[in-house]
Amino acid sequence: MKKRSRLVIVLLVVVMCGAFLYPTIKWYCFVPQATKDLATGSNVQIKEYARGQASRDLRTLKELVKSDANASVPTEYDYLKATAKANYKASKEKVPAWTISTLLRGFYTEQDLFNTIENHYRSNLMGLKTLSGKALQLGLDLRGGMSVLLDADVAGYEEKSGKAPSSSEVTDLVNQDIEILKNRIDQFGVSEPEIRLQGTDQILIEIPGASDPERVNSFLRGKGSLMFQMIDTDLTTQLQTYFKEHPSEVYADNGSIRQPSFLPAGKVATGYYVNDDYGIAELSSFVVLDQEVGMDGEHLESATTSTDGITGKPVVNFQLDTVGGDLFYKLTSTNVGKTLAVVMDGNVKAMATINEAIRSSVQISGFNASEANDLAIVLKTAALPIQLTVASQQSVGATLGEDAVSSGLKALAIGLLLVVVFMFAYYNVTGLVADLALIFNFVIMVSVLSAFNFTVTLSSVAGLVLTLGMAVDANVIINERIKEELRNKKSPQAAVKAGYDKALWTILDSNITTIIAALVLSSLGSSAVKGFANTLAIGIVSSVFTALFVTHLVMDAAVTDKEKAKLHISWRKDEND
Amino acid sequence: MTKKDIPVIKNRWYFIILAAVLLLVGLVSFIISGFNRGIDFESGLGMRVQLAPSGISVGYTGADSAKLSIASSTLSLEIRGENGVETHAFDSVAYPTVADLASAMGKVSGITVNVYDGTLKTANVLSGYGFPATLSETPVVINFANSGTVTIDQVRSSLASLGNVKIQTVGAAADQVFQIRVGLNEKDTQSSVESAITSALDTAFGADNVVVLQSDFVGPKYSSSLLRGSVVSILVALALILVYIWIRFRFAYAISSIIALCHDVFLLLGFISVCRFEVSSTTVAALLTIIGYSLNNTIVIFDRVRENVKLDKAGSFPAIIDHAVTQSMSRTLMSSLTTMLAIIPLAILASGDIKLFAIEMLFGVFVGTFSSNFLAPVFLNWITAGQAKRKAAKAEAKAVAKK
Repeated sequence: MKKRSRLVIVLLVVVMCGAFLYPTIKWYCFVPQATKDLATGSNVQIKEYARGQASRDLRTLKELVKSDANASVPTEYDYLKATAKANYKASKEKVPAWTISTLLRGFYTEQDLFNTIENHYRSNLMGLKTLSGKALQLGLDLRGGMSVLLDADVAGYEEKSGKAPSSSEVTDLVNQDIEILKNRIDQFGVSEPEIRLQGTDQILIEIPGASDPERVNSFLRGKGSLMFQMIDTDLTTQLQTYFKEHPSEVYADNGSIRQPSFLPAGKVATGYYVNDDYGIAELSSFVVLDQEVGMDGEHLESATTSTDGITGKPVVNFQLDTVGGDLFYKLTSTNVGKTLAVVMDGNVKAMATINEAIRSSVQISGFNASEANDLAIVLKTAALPIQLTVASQQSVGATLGEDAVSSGLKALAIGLLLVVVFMFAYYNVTGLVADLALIFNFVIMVSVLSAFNFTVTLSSVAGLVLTLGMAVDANVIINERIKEELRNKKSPQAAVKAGYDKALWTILDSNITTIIAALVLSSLGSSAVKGFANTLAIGIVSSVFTALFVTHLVMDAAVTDKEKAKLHISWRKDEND
Repeated sequence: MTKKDIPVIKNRWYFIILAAVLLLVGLVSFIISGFNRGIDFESGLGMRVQLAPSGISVGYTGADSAKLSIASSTLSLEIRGENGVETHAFDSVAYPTVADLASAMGKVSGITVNVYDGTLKTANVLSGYGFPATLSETPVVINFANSGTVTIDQVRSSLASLGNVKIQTVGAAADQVFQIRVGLNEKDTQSSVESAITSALDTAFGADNVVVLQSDFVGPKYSSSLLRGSVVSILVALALILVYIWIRFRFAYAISSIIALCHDVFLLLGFISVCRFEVSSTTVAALLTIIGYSLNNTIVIFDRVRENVKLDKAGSFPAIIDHAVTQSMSRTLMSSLTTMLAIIPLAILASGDIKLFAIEMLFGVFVGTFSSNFLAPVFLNWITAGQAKRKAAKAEAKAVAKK
């Protein structure tokens, strides 16, 4: 290969590493801790935070305009100017000089202004959240947290339903479980948990930050999150008008809905949520509920969707147990004509008008197919379609994680230093070339790890350390070869050329076999071992690359055009030319 | 060549006897005591706990929501209310003792602090399970590491009622960190075993003095599938490597390198059995890495053998092998040394599985270097000689048949 093309490839790799590492560097060095905490929250938390901030800002702006309408706009609200300008243009008005009052007049309604502010906060945090997803993340064993692997209890399901489910049926059931757990786990708070299907019948849950297995058990059991409550129609209308007139009064700073003072005791204001296209529950309107619970969801036995035989419209059917049937009959018989709400975790998920007194078999109608499906899922949430058992569970407290990070980093730094010094001590200047390759190799590894979204676990730190030692191997093979050629009285230039040529296949053969071992290892289930294997495989490829391209370039440059140039490959005088 | 070649082939019996004796030691140890199976391969619950005195308890009586988190010996208090988010950070530099910490925290409105032991150091704050904690009227206890005198026997006797329990001290005895392993009985679940351990420890040492740092649970189904997967993966790796060398070199090379690899694997397993190290999935990682590593060495030497055979067609094979081993010796030593240099800090500084992994790797690099220099070439020589003999015999038979 020509030297020039080798140089181009090396430069390309450098650029690539830079691009891969950019999000990581930006996230860890340029985002303040407080913002990081906010951005790593769940989507729901971010939404609540944005709402709270928007409420506060709206109040501040209104006070500002009251105290001095012609004051200049504080710089933190500069972002509003763009929207205001667009609005002025859209209504074909001249864009005025910016003061608080002209800025506010740039918005059609107070709600419009509120939405713009909320959107600003939200998109800002969502952008950072995307950035954090691209940055190199520490694994649960290093920052504390827990991961739980759950098995579907197929035998138990068979016993209960009387037939053995096929493996695709099991996967369907497990997927339904995942949806339900996702809903339940939102109560867990802190950082965004990850829940995903593993294989065909397992669920992996990873919760960074929190490490309390008891809490996982509680949401696996998942009791008492579903309620049937009556809606107060008059107060609901009153609340909706009030909130429409006073957008800044809707949310508290933490994003929760405020309880206006006109609500009497025993009534609560809450939101009616509908799942949006992304499956995130979106607030669609406000509702006032009777605080008293009509019936607890634990009495629910099953829920299905079907189509009404006469109208052809989708309906949701659910069965209640005997106690639940009595309760429900009492509730519906006293409230005919009123509206019943299905409330999950304090949020209204569905509303239905009671036409007649019902006992155990209930049918709700009046929505489209996807709404019916959503409601059925909500109702089923009271019980998992297939029970889950803990297959394996690992949780690490934050203190231990911190200790592991510091000892891992220390080991890495000392190991790197020892190898670098040793290479210089043995190979003189050529050793420094190998050291350069080693450090470059390290950068490549970290950037590839972050590009492929691998999390850094303790075992991948072990992989990094090990690769440090093994990475210089390719250079050792080459250097030993060059030394030999020099001993055979070749010129430095010829020796370098012969050294690289002869070492090429030795290096490839010996590393390909190690890669085989690493790849086999990475296909083995355990995630800790996987992290190690991935790091090892990346390290091997990049060490071969740095040896064959980077050091080759430097060594060529060192001996080119200087037939008499000395090659400092050893501290012994007789081996240096 | 100025230097004399190392007489590998001549001394072959010494190497083989040495390897055989070491393998035998491992085998005997395996037969007598088997492996100390880790949690990955023997279902159960592993828990790392630290006995540490409670320093303060913190409660919150205000109307807002308060969260307490602990990171790098700094306690952060976050109060979210209708009027915004207030955060207070208390680090160990500004508040060196627990008494300082308590008086500072108590000044935050709504926070009530109860001091148990003000002399403890803030820098030693521990955050185990339950943190970040949401504060309420029921106070949350915060523990601080301190040197203590509870012995491993006391911990053992406190858990005696649970049956099959293994306990180890982690780090210095005064740190009071213990690793507890409990096997599973039928019908045990993760939560039942865990609560049994914590309640036993709580009764023995006081509920507020036990901090759970880490726990791992492996169910019976998972552990057996992992064991099967590990064995399969090692066999698959060996088979793939065999095929690769067969294609790139020759059959004799492939077989002799696989023999050397088996030696490494069994010797490492013997070492693990003798030292009573826990066998876990990181052990499998160490085994496979050593397979890759030792093979790397072997191939560099075999590559040299192949090259020398081409250069010197008339030379005797044993002499060629000796020469190749000698030529590769400085490379082999260098690369073993650099690998060991990199791992030694890990073996000293890390703890738990990773420490064992590093120690196993150190041993493995040593063994791998030995086998690729002194065992694989010897077997290569034998197998090649055998093949040559058979060929010659066949040729002779043909010649006889022709007559």
